[in-house]
Amino acid sequence: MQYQDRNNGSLAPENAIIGRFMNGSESAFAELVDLYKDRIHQFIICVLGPDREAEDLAQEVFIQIYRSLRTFKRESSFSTWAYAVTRNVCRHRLRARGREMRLFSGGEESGDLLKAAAAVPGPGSSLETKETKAVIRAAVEALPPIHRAVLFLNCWERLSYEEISRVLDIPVGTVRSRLHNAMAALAGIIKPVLGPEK
Amino acid sequence: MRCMDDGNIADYLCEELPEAERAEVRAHLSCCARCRSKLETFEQVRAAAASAPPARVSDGFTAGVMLKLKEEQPAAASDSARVSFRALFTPAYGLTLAALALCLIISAVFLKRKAGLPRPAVQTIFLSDGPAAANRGFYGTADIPLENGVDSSAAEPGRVNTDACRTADCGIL
Ligand SMILES: [Zn+2]
Repeated sequence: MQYQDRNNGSLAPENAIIGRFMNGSESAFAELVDLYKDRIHQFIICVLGPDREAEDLAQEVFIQIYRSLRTFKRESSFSTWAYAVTRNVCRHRLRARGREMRLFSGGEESGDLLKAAAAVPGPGSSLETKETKAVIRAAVEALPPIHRAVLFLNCWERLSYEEISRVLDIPVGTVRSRLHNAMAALAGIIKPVLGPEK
Repeated sequence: MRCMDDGNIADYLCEELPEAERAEVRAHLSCCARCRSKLETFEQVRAAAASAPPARVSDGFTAGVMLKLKEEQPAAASDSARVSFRALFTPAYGLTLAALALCLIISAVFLKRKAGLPRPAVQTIFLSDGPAAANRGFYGTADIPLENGVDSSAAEPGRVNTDACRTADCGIL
């Protein structure tokens, strides 16, 4: 399934929905939730890994969005703003859980990238085409959280380096290097799955 | 141009290079099979990462969010009830209270005069119901001349000076 509104400026359908919400339509907010629920959920999974609370957190994100949507200045796209809200909710939840917040430090980067490489069958494995997506998902899931988050925001949401830097609250240079590393690691992993080199 | 590293290729693919550099990369790609192959691999990675759809939430998700928001509404309503007491001290209510106090004082002064009680030498009352008394600059010093630092218009016996009077004097009301 492909969404058509990825960072698509004024053509994004959420702009009209947000307009109706600002004019007092509560049902418009339900439409906004429908439009973004899977994406926000996926981003939470990118940041936290598979998490039994991911849906609860996604609900919390939408409640936060509801409370502050009227103050949304539209200086950035709605998606950039919504993902920044999501990142904050994840950060608060991690703090509440008392975990060390190391998600965005990339501390175990090389080790985790090696783990990601080991998570996917090697060149000798034969994989049906229908399994390709599951393999890719497994490869992405095995990446460190920051790589997953940067990949999702760049490849799926088509956000720019600058926008990703604002969402994750990290420097643009870090976004760039994480994306390069993640893409290079994935290239090595999924090349055999996607077919012979041209 | 030399062959590109992974970073350059990703930047090119993500359209993060300025146009001049993009043109250089395009020219290099047209004559370098090695870089073209790298770019194609990265394109496949990007397409693959974008092809895996986001993990779906369960069916009742949106209804759950809307229900939670509805449950929050009564709490918000009681909040606004609590705020209404504080609203007494907001400027609009404060002004009304000040006007009432003014009416009472004027009536008291008027009744005192009628009763033939000895008139005090100076009966000047200052009430502040807004920023005017605190900020003479708003009206300009020329409108209300100062004599030895004292507002001459305020020295008139029996006159109740308030900011509202001054506002009326200067023609705003
Ligand atoms: Zn080359």
